[in-house]
Amino acid sequence: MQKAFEDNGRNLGYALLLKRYVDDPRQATPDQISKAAWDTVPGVAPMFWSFRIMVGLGFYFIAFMALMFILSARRMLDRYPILLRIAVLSIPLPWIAAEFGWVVAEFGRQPWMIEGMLPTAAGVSNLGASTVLMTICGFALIYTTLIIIEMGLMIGAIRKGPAPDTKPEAGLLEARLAPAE
Amino acid sequence: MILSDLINYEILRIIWWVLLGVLLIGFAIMDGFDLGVTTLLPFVGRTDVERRVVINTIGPVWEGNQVWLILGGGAIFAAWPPLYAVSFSGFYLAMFAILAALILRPVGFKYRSKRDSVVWRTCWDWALFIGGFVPSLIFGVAVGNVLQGVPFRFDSELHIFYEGTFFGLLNPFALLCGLLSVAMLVTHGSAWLMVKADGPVAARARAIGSVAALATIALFVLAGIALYLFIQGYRLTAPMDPLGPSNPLLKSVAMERGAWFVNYASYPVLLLAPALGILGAAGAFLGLRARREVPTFLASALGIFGIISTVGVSMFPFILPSSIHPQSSLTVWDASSSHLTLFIMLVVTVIFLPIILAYTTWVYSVLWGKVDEAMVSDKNGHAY
Repeated sequence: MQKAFEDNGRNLGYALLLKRYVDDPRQATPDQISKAAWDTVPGVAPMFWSFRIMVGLGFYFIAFMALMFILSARRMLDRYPILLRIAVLSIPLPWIAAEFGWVVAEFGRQPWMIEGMLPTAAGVSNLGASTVLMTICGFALIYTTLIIIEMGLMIGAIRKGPAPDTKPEAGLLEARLAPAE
Repeated sequence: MILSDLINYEILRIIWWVLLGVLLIGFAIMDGFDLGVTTLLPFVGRTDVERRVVINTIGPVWEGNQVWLILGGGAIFAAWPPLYAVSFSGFYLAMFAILAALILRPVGFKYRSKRDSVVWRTCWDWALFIGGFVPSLIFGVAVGNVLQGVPFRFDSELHIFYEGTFFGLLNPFALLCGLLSVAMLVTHGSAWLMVKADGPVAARARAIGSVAALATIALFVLAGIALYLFIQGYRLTAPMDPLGPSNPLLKSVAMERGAWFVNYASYPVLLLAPALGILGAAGAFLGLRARREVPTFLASALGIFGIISTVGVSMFPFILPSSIHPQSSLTVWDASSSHLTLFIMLVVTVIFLPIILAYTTWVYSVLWGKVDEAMVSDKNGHAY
């Protein structure tokens, strides 16, 4: 028995994949085995695109930051206002990249919770859907409220503008970009 | 020879049981005064400047202190996986309530001073109150439920089934423990405010703290009596193999009144734990009356150490008993990670815990001294 376990133990996780279709994996029909096997084939299109969007955004951040660093070091930040606009529009992109990274990690490893060992279906807790839904709604409510408050404060701070800069190099900025007194 | 054989599995399990206690007590002592201070906030500060003094006594340290909670959760996850699985799923909605309240804390600190509006600031003061009071209460309620046993069981494949409800947690004994937790942490918060603040804030903290310290003693004694008279403890009916596999279903357990007091009869030295709990709180009371700042804080910390250790040693070797299927109860001998995992984590802990303690000490020595009104009114400062 020990020998049988040592020979086959590392494949036990695959047997657990059958639990989705049949209570006792030993009774599985070839049809069910084939279904469980197909479960391990990932959905390629969402993985392909979410990974490339994440990595593409990453390279864009590196390139854009490098460009802005060079312009800033040469005190030319104000020469191309379009770049400043692009910078503002890029604010949500890191969040999007992080979300797609999350999709790659979480969607990409289905049907496994731990690859080869623990299928997701066998690893979830027995909390009811209503309980989980309740906390999802709770967190959504809390964070939505907080983001509304946060945006209010940020917009207020942006309207107020930066404090006047009295350092000598402030004179290098063009008048239209200098902070209002 | 494998290096982990240097320490035997039984000893490692005991070490990790002690470390679990160290981390939970560390959290209660370090973040406990933050929770106490925010609970006290609306009562010890009458004016806006006073309230900002209160907030800024913990302003630079609360974030670091909260990491003890994460460390404790992480240690449970890594050293006691079944405990993590049962308690985090079983206390799911209670955990949510704690998290929701704890989320209010950082935003309360950061947002409160961003607007000069009385309504705005008063709202955040009460949000901070919730952020201190609710976690203090729920942590105590959770401990009260652990002492009574939690309605979970394992099936033959060791899947966990939790059969309780959120409102089932709010039974009288658990609420008594919740109040004890609030009183204990409010005492601790008052001691901190006496160390870090002056004038009317410290005076009010002393007044409230004295009452809270007496309440801590009364509630602790009351909880002990209630535990003895009304609550069934758990007892192993056959000795367990301390080196055995982590499979909770291999033992037999009986429920019986007074079982939580058996350890004290076998090892009277353990009575030091409840004694420290009472003496610490009494010391905090006397210190608050006599305005002995640092000794009060130390006494209060000692009291927390005593009260939480009391729970641990009363239950040993149980960690989380099951009320619906006592055999499923988790104990030190059948709910740990593997020998190798415990050993590796012990090595990591031995290296990093002293580093954490060293820099924490350094931070507190840098921040030593009182927070006063001039400090928070300084426009160029970093005060909240």
